Amino acid sequence: MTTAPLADFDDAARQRAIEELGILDTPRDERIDRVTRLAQEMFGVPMVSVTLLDRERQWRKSEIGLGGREAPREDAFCDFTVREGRTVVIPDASADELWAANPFVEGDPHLRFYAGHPLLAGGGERIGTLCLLDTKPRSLDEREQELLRELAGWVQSEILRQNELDDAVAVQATLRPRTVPELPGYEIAALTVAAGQMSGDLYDWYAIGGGVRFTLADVMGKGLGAALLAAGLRASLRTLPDREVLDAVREADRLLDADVAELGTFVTAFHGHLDAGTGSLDYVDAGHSLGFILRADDTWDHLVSTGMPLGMGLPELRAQAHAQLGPGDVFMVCSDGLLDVLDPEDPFGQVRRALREGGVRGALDEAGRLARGATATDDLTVMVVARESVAAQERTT
Amino acid sequence: MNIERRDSAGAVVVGLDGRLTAAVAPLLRAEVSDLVAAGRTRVVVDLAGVDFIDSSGLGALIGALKATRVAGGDLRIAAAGEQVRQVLRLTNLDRVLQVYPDADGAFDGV
Repeated sequence: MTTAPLADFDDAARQRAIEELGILDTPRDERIDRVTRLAQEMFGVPMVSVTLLDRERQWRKSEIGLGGREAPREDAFCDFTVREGRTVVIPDASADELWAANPFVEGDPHLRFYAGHPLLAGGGERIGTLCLLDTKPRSLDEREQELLRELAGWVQSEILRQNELDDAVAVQATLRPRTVPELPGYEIAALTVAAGQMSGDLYDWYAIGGGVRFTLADVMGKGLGAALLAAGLRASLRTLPDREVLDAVREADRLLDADVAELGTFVTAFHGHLDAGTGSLDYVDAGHSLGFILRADDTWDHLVSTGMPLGMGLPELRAQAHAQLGPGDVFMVCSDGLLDVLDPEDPFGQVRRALREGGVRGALDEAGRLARGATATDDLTVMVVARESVAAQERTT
Repeated sequence: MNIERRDSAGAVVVGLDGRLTAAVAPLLRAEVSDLVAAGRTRVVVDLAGVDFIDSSGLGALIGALKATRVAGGDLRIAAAGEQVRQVLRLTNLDRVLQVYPDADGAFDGV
């Protein structure tokens, strides 16, 4: 046994760090595979691996030429490199007294050359290596070692970035409504599907004063930047929950103007309040134009947009508009991602049939299927508020 | 996407073609910002060759509009096709970005 633990290596910290990353046994990741391919090309070696250490095994997030993603940790070169915490280069293992009797050298795959550099987790814990292997002896000059360290740094930042993104996706999910307001005589539901991992679409709702306050907004662009702005907008609109929808939108607009004027970005939004008893809907539409009511008689009303998008930094007098949701009517607001997946010949007919045949839940399920089936290029969000028909009301009373 | 620049009576015409989307938006913004920095604050964006615009493209137009106005000038758009007009209408941005029929006439009478 040649790789006795070194006194200063904290294996428990390594194990905690690798478990926190949650990366073990995850699928291959093209962003990391790209680095291993590049390393193979640059160094001209038959085997390259991004190896991570678990308790008793080494697990490869990416590998070329090794033919497997798992191997014992005991006696492994990479375990040695992690413990040493430095670039390790072994030009010819069979001529190295420390390594000549190693099972990976004496036996299959008869390794001769090894070079590896440690990968660090966010707290500096050494969790694995980027390593190069060959069955022929070779050397690695100082310049090449520097290159190996550069590539290891790249792999490391990809691993940590993915981890940050996973956290962000979880946070965004918790910012979405987890319960549906209890509104007798109404059914409320929503669906959102991100094009990537983070969404620039926002939907929100909460019950207040015998009704429901709700928002659907679409931040220009998509991904992490758009998601950050969406989270800020949600917080702004939720402040002072019982103020007029117009005041809430004006204030959100003012804040966005101040924050994003230089970014050349903007947000389209529909923000409304529905009074359950009367079916009266007060709303402000900021350049969104995607609010509709499917009437009980199967005709559509388009809720007219009354203002420019938020965050334009242009003077704008905003106005509140009003609509009436009668028994059997269905209000729907969506982001333009929905338009991309609907039948361009007859989008209204398609939505009407889905709502009438499948109900609110069935229609959203169908939208979800369409969104995930398409090569989604935009975030997609739909919110539906359906008021029971008179017949349905009579049945329940 | 190509960006062409030419002079017209009292203004600079920036001609675009293809799709005005996230990939091109930064180019347009940089082009107009260069013009404004050089004191050319009356800009016409000729959209005759643009067959599609998305929200990033709109953002670039609005950003460019603000840049020219801050510098005391203006930005106008010309010869937009149906899809561009529709997007401007839906977002109510046609109120700040009126479409002029012809790039060379966009600043007539100013």
